[in-house]
Amino acid sequence: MLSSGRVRMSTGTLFGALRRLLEDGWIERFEQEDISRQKQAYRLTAAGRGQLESELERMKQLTRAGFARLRASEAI
Amino acid sequence: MRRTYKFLLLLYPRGHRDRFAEEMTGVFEEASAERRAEGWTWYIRFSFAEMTGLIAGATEAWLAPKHAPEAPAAHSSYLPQELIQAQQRVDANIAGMVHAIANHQFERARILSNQEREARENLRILREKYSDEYGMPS
Repeated sequence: MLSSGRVRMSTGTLFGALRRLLEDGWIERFEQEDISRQKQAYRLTAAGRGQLESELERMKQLTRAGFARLRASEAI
Repeated sequence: MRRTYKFLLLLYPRGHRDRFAEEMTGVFEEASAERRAEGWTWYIRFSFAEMTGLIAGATEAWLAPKHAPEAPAAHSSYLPQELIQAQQRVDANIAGMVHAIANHQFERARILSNQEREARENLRILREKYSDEYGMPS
């Protein structure tokens, strides 16, 4: 939903990823009243949030490094 | 199609089926109805992707290393903040080192490398401290 249809994955791929995230303790299941019986709600754990923040920080650093390299090559 | 999907779910290990089979079937049926509304071409592509995805997913589930059972929610939600922050410091130092090296700032990279070593040692000590309480590897 967040990707506006750009990312579509099979249920096999999706639930494989969910299983790994659960096992690593990065997400957890929780009860949500307004969803159907067959659906399960998931949310980030504190450890998952920390991991996500670290990953975003790493990506930010890589982006900065990429732009710095681009600027350097443009200046030559 | 639903019958084929349920049959292919049998390829998964028992533990995975117990945890996810009902939910997977529900998500599949919902997505299936959406794709059918988009036309037969999309529906056939979707069906093919789903079937191959299930076979690949089942293979991956069998080959995945055996983890401990899913931690109870309360356990994972309350990992000590100092432990999470220690891990973040290690990660941030590594990211900083990569950035410094990419920018040829080797002196800064050396300083960050020292900081990373200290942060990693601090993380190791904290893991030892919480290893019994949270059952994490020290």
